[in-house]
Amino acid sequence: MSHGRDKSPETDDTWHELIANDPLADFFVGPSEQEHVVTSYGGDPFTGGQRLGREMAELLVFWVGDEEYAIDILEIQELIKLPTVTQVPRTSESIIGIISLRGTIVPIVELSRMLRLGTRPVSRTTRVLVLRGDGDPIGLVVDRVTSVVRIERESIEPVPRTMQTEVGDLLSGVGRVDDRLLIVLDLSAIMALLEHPK
Amino acid sequence: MTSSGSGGVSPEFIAEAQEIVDALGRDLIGAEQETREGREEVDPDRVNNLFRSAHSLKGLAGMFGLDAMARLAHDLESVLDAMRLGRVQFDKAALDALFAAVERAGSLIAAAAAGEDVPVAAIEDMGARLTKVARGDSNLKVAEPLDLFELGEDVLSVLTEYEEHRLRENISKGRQLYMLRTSFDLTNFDVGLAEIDATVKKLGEVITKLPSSKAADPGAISFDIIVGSDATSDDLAKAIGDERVEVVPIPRRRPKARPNPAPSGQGTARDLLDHIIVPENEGSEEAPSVRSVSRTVRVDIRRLDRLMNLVGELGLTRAAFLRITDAMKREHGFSGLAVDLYKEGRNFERRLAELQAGIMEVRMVPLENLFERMQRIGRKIGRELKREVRIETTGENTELDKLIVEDLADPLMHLIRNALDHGIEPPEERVAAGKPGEGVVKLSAAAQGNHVVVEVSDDGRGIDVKRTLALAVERGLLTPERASELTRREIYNLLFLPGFSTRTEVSEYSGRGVGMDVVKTNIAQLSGVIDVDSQEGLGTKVVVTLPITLAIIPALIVAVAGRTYAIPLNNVQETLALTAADVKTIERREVISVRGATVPLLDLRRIFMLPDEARPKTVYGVVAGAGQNRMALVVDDLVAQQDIVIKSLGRWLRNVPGIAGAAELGNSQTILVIDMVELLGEMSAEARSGSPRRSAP
Repeated sequence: MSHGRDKSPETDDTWHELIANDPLADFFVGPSEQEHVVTSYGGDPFTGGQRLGREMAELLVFWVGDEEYAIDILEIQELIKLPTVTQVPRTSESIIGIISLRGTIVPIVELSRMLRLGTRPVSRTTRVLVLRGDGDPIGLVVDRVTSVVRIERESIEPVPRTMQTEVGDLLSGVGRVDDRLLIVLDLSAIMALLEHPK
Repeated sequence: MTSSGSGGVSPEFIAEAQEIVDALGRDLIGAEQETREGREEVDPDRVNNLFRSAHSLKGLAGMFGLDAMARLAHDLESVLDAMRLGRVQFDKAALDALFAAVERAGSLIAAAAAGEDVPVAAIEDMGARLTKVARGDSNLKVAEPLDLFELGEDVLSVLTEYEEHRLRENISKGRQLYMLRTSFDLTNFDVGLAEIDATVKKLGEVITKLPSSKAADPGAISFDIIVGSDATSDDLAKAIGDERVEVVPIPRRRPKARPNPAPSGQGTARDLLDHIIVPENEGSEEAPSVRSVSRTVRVDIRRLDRLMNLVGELGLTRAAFLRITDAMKREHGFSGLAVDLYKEGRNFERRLAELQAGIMEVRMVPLENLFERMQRIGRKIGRELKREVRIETTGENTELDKLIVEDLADPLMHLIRNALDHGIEPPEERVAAGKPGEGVVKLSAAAQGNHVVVEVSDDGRGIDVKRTLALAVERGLLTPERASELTRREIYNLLFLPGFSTRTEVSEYSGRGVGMDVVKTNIAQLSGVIDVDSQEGLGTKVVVTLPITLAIIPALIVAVAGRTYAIPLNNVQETLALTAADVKTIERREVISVRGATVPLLDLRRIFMLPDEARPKTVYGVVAGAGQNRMALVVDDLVAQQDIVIKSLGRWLRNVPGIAGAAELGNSQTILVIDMVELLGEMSAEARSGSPRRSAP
């Protein structure tokens, strides 16, 4: 499959370009996407928030198991379908292997395992979120990507006590959009866990 | 993109400054060598080079607003200028100060690269030390210009102050001094003198005309005329053209002939100081340019990596061409377009190989700079450990992949430290053992096919086998029974065990017990092998064998339990087909026999915890290692032999034991590259611990 664009990883893609140009944008699925997928977005995401006077966060929303999770869209380099993964022995169990993404070796992490939700079946909607990872990309496998939402950063609440489980420190907060509950992931915690597995 | 540091210091600056500092170090070592050999003086070209390097560094640092470095370079320049003009000698104290200053310049560069701002005050100590050297204060002797020539006290004592000054000036300009012995008729000697004066002025300067009592003829008067000139004595004699004038060069004095010249009076000492503190603009006629004249381009190695990756990917395209050609051959026969495609494919292949070789060539750098750095470090360590030692290098033109050279610096430094700390004895001990007080550490490099062999050898006390064994037993690395069975080589290998250190007291430079095992690990990461040989009382030799490059390597592609792996071919000794009958069990360990030698088997299924699929009836053993330390890796199938581009697994998976990296095969398949050296190490660890490890977590 051709990616219609040829950008080196360090090119500073803006998120809307990323989604608009990615052929996988067609694969966005979700019941509420009509309301929330931002299809036309004017202006730069870095300054857009300030125009409104409040700092807005753009989050990519996806499902893992029965929960809706979200990641700051600026952390995401691209979305890809799950390619053939080469298993790597002697690594932590949430790493299912590596892929070569245009020549760069990228570890693929099964998010459900990292979140102690067990293994999820691969389906038509399974996607890999390729995170920038401070220049060393990481692939996160998720069940399906549904939408992009914009919410005020301030409205992201701390993780409720009931969710403070052993994976609690991988979560940075909970955002509410209408009656949906989005669990926002803490990428620096995920990166730290990858770098120093427990 | 590569971002420039916050302080505005560009990588180009860092690279250029580092080059200058390396050049300074190199020339200082040369200068030291020359003084050691007892030459009359340090090669003036070398001194000029040193001076120019310091000047360039000053200009460069000034351009980037690095005041501390500019100041240091300025002080360095002052000393070197004084040396260039013969006012300060290259003695030990001066050399020490210069080496220390160059060392400091190196750390300032490192600080600049890290974006740290170093205040000028931080180098004041060094500045003071250099100024002292430049002035010839304290423990340093001043090179009194007059002492450079054999001028008798009878001559010096009659010179006027001005004549003495002119004499110094001429000497400082590097002119040769001549004594013209003349004899004139008393009646018209003034005419004769005037003629000589006029002639000599074209070639130099008449410093003084001293009437001499040596005249044999009572009707004549003799003069000894002291002349400073750049001309040779023959030229001078020819120009004068008078047989009555004898041109005698005043011989230069050997430098160390008068260790403590006493300045001949208060006035002259002050005079001397004025000369030695060099005015800012002196020497401006050869104003060294900061702009480099070399026609070279500095390239970030990552760009070359990117090009190399592209070539690797083109290699995949080539493989696709070949597949298509094959398919066409099968379906349509080998004719028409299939033949054309085949030909073009071959053409492409050749060009690609050239391109690959070309990029490889660009990555290759000579070991020169690394060796020179090692000499400098070795010199410093030697001084601090109070060892008299000379570090000799050979084969510095040998080229290696830039990345390997970078990663070689640390292990090499460790080896040199070890040689100086554990190898070379203190001078008294050496003399007592009938060796010269000065030890020699040799650093050499030579290319051997696709490998480069780097050796560090010393003529020190060698490895004490008994003590090594005793310590290994004491530290629980070995049982006493086992100790008696070890071969010499196996004993030396104990040095590479983690936590082993043969020094009971901890010194600053080695002896923390982290040295040799870290060296071994670092070398192994470069796909290199390290080997030690020693003779008690005579010295130790450490041999490091490295692949010329890490970028593209020939590999054996193997299959195990449905998975494909690559094994770097330079780790493979041979491959053998094995059946169940070939495999024996000794102490619960599977072994095979390779031409009479017993070689243990290592099963990837077990250590990589591959799904428990039964081992096929016929398998292959891939034999790796050397000497006693060998193993055979069991694989199901040998798939192909192919050049691969090893890629790092990246930051997140950087230390997977037994995996050296990943590579892509033609069919867009990503495979893992096995680190045979590491597996070999794991296996010997298992053998020592006595039971096969089930597997690593």
